[in-house]
Amino acid sequence: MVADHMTEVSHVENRDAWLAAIVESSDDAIITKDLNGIITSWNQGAQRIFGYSAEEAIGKPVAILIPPDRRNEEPGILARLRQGQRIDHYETVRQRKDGTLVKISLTVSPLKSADGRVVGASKIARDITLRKQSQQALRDSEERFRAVVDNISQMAWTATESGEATWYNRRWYDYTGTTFDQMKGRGWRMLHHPDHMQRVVTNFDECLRTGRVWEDTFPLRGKDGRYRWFLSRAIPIRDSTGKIQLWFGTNTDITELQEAREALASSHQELEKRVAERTSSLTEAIAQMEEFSYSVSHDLRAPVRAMQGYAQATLEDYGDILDERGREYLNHIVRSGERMDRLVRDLLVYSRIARTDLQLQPVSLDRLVSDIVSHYPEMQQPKAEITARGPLHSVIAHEPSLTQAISNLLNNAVKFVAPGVKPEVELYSERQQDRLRLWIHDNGIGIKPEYRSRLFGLFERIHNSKHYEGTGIGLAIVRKSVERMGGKVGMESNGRGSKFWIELASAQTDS
Amino acid sequence: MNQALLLVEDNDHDVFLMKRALSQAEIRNPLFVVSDGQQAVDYLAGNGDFNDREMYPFPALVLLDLKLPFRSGHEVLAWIRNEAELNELVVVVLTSSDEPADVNQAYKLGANSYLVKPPSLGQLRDLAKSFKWYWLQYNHFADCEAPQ
Repeated sequence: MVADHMTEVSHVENRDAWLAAIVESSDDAIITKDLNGIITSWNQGAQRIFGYSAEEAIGKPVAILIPPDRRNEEPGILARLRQGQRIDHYETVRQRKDGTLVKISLTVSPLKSADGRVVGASKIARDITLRKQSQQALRDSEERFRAVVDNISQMAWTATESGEATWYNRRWYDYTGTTFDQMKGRGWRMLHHPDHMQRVVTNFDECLRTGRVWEDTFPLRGKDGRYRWFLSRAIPIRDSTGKIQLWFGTNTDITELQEAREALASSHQELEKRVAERTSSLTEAIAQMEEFSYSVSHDLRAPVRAMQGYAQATLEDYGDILDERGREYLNHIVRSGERMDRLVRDLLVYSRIARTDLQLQPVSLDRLVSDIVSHYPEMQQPKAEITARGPLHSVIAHEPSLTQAISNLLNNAVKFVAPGVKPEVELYSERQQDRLRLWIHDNGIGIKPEYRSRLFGLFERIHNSKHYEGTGIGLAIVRKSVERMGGKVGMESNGRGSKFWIELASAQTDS
Repeated sequence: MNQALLLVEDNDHDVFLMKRALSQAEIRNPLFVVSDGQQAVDYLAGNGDFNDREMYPFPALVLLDLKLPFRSGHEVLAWIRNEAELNELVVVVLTSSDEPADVNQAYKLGANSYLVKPPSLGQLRDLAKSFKWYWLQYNHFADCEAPQ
């Protein structure tokens, strides 16, 4: 029993000491006062904040702590206490012993006796000067931030983590002519173009949900009622726990950029249109050229054929009643007609080579030359001798065009010989890297150096037509066809015949 | 065998020279001449006067020029090959064009042969002789009935 009593007593004594120790060790000022406002207890924290010791303060009116301009606060506080009310976190200013002011947060609770009567108050005062300072610093920094963001050329805003707008910069109001009341929450929707709003809101909500950076391009209506294009971007700003506190967004006017892009696109379109027009006029020109060639091949040759045919028929049917001169005249008509027909045909070949699409593939020169020679009796023994020195190899060519070119060169080679000389032509080929040059060396009359530059031109004839037949188109055809196959032609003459060459891509890749 | 030949040719001079060459080649087949593509179609279809097959017998072979008034030779050829009864009719193109496009097109449309008008009378006579030997002596024609 004694032990129990002792335990209880010491327990009670211990509890009081324990509570006293808590009160004493608190950083906050913990003060009690009676209903007359007289201080009845004073802890270490109170001494630290206000400068009075417990001896100095106890028994004094609490008014000693109130600066003169706030004396009217106390009657209100006392009145509320008498009614048993609490005052929580009341921020105010109090005066220290040395007369300086201190910002405090005040909590005042009524103290009641065992029978429930209010007999006094406990007062906890917390020095909030530091907190106030950091709040002030925060406000200052926010103001600086706004000053900066108000003056940037972009529009800027902040929004809550759920996307409700909380602030806009000055540029925003300058451009839109709106007020914050119109814009707050989701008021910004009124500025969006109906064609874009749904997409914009959907994207924005998606970013709010996922915390992804928001980026979009859309028009916003200005105060003049006209829309301009903005590139918009918003980033989430998170607290130390990673929770999104707010979104910070900007809208950059890209109307000029957009217009430049559209202008570019339209000029691109214009260009394409022009190219299409040119192409179509070119196509038309080519079609006309084809039509012309067709007319040449059909309409122009018909009268020549008739002239020649009637002259021939006259010679055949009435030759015996004409004298020698009459028959000679008719023969001139026949030969001129033949020549005219050959000219027209050669021109057609030339124009066809110039306009047809040439499909290139490997062609064996050995086979091609032997085919050509077998086709023309005047290239064969005993009229002429055409030999190949060594294998001629293969080139990349369009076979019909190459046949035409080599036939023309071989025809010239056997044609332009001095009277009484049997044509002898030697062919050989030379490889130079990926090119192959076919040489055609004849024993003909050769070509004087001063004529060589004209040799491959159209209608150029450098031999007298009395002795050597020709239209002056043959070598032009050779050059045109070889050039269209990506090759070159040329000739050398050293007094003993001519050496013509054709150079094309070699069909062999190794040597 | 003395089947009729139909020559489709708009140029009178060419008709004259061709007739002369055919006769010099001693081709005795009756030769009928029409001078444009529409007439060729009418002749073969037996339209109007051509319905009289005593006067205008159905030909065993058509010599067809390509450049013709109203309907080109290619169009006539396409029409012929589109008529079931005329599938076996031999069509020999005889033209001054040696354009590869014309040649290819003619064969694609079903020509049996393609001849280019030679520039001289002598060559035309040679061509007529070859034509006679090949098409009229050695060649066998299908039974080609005139469309009713």
